[in-house]
Amino acid sequence: MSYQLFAGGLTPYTAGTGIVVNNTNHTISIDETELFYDATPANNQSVTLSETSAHFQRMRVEVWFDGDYVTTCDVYPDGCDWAFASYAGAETQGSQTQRHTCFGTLRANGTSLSVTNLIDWIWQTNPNQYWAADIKSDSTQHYGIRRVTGINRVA
Amino acid sequence: MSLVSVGNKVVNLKGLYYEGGKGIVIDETDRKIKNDETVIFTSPQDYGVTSAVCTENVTNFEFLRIKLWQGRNGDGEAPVDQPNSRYEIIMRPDGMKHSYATYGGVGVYDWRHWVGTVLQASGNTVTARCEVDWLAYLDPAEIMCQEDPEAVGIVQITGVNRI
Repeated sequence: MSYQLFAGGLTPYTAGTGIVVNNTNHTISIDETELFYDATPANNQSVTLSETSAHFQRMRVEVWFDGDYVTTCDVYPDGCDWAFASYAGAETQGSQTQRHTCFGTLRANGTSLSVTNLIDWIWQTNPNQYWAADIKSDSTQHYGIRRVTGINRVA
Repeated sequence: MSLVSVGNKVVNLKGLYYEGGKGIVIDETDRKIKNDETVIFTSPQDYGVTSAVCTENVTNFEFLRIKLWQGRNGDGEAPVDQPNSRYEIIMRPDGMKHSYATYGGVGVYDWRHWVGTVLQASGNTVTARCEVDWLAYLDPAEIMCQEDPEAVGIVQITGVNRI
């Protein structure tokens, strides 16, 4: 572990440490920057960040599902797919209740952050049936990105 | 002048002060910089708590860090027979339903569990409910699914970044 605080004063900032020291207003804070937020998310499968993801060590992403379900996933801005799974809530179809478990990937590349849901496990409670569905083709409006933050500035 | 210990260094934090929501606390008593994280619930047992009453309102914090136990599979087995895995989730106390899905471990008779859970925080109460439990039995290959509200339990809740 390295330290960026020194006797007789504070260095203004050193990237990648997780802590910001602000000599102007004399505060220290966690190094996390909000890069995207949609208070009423819908269908945000690909969003543009306010700053390139490469400036941060890691991204923290809130993925929204149908209704008001949210799951939080951490992603590295390396251009690779980062996998996640989440319970995506129940919905009523007539007299039936269907419960969804979604699997997908997140990818950060430059100022782009995208989410892809590859599969949706569906369990219908009455009658008791279950099946897997590829929801890319017909249900893209059911998930999206709600919030993105960059953690630990590195550049 | 405030003296703060950082590792093995003692530094002068001239004029430094704390603001809510910054994630950092300066403890003037022991002169250390600490993460701003407060334990607001600890379970006396490590399973079965699906509605946790916290010691203060969750909206006092920017994030909640919730440690959960998972494993009961609803078949009536004694707790000693159940998987005993842990999962940790960070959520904002924003009234949304925060959900996750994760592997829940190997239960009795070699069933594998994959559970989906919903968490909600309101006032000083946090609830956790396992709404779906996918079970796979390997030989012969078989899949079942069930609701299992008691498949998760809240072990500990901390508030992160006081606002």
